[in-house]
Amino acid sequence: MIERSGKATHQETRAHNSRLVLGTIYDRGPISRAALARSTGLTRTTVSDVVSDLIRDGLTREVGRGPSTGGKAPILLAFADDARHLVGLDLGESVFRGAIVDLRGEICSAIEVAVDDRDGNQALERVFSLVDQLLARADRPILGIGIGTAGLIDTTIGTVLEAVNLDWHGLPLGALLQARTGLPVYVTNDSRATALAEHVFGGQRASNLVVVKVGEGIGAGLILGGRLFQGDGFGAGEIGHTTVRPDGDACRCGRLGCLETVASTRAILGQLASHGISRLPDAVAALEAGDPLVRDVVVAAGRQLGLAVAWLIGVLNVERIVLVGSAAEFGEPWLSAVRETMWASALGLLADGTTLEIGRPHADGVVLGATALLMTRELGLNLTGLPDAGLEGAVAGESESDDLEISA
Amino acid sequence: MTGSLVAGVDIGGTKAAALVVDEAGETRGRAVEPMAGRSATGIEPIVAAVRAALEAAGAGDGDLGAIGVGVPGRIDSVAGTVSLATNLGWHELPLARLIRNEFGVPCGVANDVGLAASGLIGHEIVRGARSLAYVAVGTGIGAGLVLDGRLHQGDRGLAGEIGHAIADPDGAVCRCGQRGCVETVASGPFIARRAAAALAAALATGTPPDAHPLLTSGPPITAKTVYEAAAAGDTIALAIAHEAGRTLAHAIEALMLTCDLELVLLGGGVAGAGPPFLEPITAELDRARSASALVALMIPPGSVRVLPEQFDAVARGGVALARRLIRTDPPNPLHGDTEEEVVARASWT
Ligand SMILES: [Zn+2]
Ligand SMILES: [Zn+2]
Repeated sequence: MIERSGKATHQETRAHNSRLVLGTIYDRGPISRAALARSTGLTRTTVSDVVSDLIRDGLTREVGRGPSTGGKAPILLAFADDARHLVGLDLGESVFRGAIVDLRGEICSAIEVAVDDRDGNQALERVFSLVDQLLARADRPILGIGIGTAGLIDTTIGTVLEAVNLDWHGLPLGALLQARTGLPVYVTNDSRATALAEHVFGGQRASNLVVVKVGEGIGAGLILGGRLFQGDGFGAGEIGHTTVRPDGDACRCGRLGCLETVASTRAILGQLASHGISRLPDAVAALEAGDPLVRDVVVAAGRQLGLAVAWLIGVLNVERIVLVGSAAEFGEPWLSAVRETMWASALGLLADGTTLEIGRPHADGVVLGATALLMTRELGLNLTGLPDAGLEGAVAGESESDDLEISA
Repeated sequence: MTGSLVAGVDIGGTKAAALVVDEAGETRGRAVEPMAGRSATGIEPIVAAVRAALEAAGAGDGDLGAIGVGVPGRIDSVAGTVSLATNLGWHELPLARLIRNEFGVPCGVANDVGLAASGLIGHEIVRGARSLAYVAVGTGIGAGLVLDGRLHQGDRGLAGEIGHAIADPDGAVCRCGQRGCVETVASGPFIARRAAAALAAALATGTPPDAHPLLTSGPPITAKTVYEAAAAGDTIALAIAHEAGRTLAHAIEALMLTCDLELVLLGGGVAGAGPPFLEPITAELDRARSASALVALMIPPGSVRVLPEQFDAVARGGVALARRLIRTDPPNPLHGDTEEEVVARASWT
C-alpha cells in the first residue's frame, strides 16, 4: 500500500464523495439531502457541502419538495440532464455518424456522412469536419468529445493503434482533436462503446455484461464487476480472431479460419455472392421471403457465433449477453441459431439463467457509448453502486486506486 | 491473542496440501495428507495436514493466526461455504466454520484456481502483472482470472470454466456429458486413457512391446508416464502430448484474446511434467504468432509459462487470504479494501 500524504488523502476523499453523491443523484434523483446521506453513508454536512458545489457547477438542481415525513418537507435534488452537451462520434464501417447528446443519453442533433474510400487522411478530414459541424450546433457548455471506432485503441491516450478499415495505424486521434478543439477527447473501440452504452443508458445495470458486435468484424465489449474491462493492452474482447476452423478461409488478420471468417456479416455476404446477393438489405429480404439457401447460410453463421458465446459464458460467467451490429438485422432465425448452440454447448449450470438478446435497434449505440465514456470519466460519475459490485474483487490482491475508479 | 503463523491449504481430489508461513513470508513447514478415507464432512485430512505442517515448522495450534483454504468447486466465500465440489462430494458444506471451530482462528475459503490467481498478484514471479490467469491442468482443467488486479468470479462464481469448452465436436464424451471438451484431450485422466488406447492399437497391429518401453513396462499408464515417455522420444507419447499441447494452446490463445491478459501461468499435476508439457504448447503459440500480427501483439513470447512444480500456487493463495483475515488496520474502501474483506474482518474481530 502506497503511503499517502494527509492532504492527498483529503482531496481524494473529497473527490470520491463528490462522485458518489453525483452518481447517486444520477441514478436515484429526485432525492433529498437526507436520503443521499443515508444511501451514501456520508454525513449530512458532507452531503450538503458536496451538493452546494454540484449546484454551483450546474450539474444538480433543486426541484421542489418531497413528501414530509414529520417535519418540514425536504427539498429534492435532481441531476441536470441538460447541463452539458457531449459530442459523440461513431466512426463506422461505411458511415461516420456524429451527434450532440445530453447527459442522459438523449440525442439532440445528429449528422451522418458516407465514407466510401479507404484513405486514412481523408477519413481524418471527415472526422474534423463532422466535429466542427456538431460543435456549431451545441447550445450548452461542451463537456468534451467521445469517439467509438473499430480497431485496437489505446484508450488512455486516445490513440488508434490499428484500424484496418480506416487505414489508421498509430494515429493519435485524441491528441489531434484535443489540440484542434481544446476539449477533452476520449476514444474507444466500437464494441466497448456499445457495451458502455448498454451499461450506462440501458436501464437495467447488470454488474457483468457482454456486448458482442457482429458486423464486418466481430468484437466483444466487456463490463465486468460494474466496470469497462479493456485488458492489459486494450485488446480484451478480440474474439473475432479466435480460431474456429484451423484449415478455413484466410482472415484479414493473417490467419486461417478465425471466427470472423465464418460468423461475421461479411462472411455471410461472402457466401451469398454466388447466389447473386451482395448487399445486406437484399440478404435480409431474401431471408424474410423464405429463401432456403440464405437461411442455411445465416443459421450456420449463427451456430458458429453460438459456440463463441458459449465460450464467453464459460470463461466469464456473465449472465447478460447482448448482440448488436449489422448481423442482428437477420433477426429471429439468426438469434435462435446462436441461442440453441449456446445452450447445447455451454455447461448447463452456466447457461442456466443467461439471457441472450439483440440490442436496442437504433443506430446510436456506439455514439452513446462514446459519450458515456466521456461523461463517466469527466464527471467521475460513480455508476457502480450495485449491491454486489464490491464483491467481485473479493480475494484479489491489494488494489491501489482502482476501487476509486468510476464505472468506465 | 492468536499466533503469528498462517496456513494455506490446497484441497484436491486426492490430497490436502498445507503450507505454513511466518510473518516474514518464509515457508516454515509443509505437509500432505491423502483425502481418501475421510468422513462425509471430510475435514480430517485438512486438519491433519495443517497440524503436520505446523509440526514441521516446530510449532503448534497456538502459533497459528489464520487459515486460507482453496477448494475445487463453487464457493460462497462470504459465508465460507462450499456450495458444490463434485470431485469431493461436498454440497453446502460450511467449511470455514468447521475449520474455525477446530483451530479457533479465522478461516477463509475460496475457489482453488481463483485463490491461486489472486495469490500470484504482487508475487515477484508475475513481475507486476495486473491481469493474469492461473490455469490448472490436472484431473480437470480450469482457470482463475485476475482482471485489472481484481479476482473475476462472474455472476455465480463460475468464471474460468475453460476445461469444458468444445475442442473437437466429434471427440470423446467428457465427464460433464458433452463431447470433445478441452478436458477430453488435455486433462490427466484423458491423456492416460488416450495413450493406453493408442498403445493397444499399435500392439494389435504387431508393433513389438519393446518399441514403447516406458509405456509397456511397469504400472498402468498415467499422464506422468506419458510425458516421461514423450521426453524420451516415444512416438505414441509424443503424439498424445502434441495433441494435448495444441488443444491447450488454442484454449489459452482464446483466453488471451478474450481477456487480453498479461500472463498465463500453468500449474497443477499435469503441468508438473514441465518441459515436455510446455513445449508443444509453445510450438503451437509460435505458429499462431508467425501467422498473425494480432496474436503476436496480444500473446508475446514468454507470456505463457509453467510454474515451478514445487510452487504450490493454491496453498500460497490460501496464505495470502489468511493474512488478510488477520490484518489489523481498519478496513477502508478508499484504500482498495473490498466489501467482502470488510464483512470478513468485521465478523472475526
Ligand atoms: Zn483473424
Ligand atoms: Zn466437459
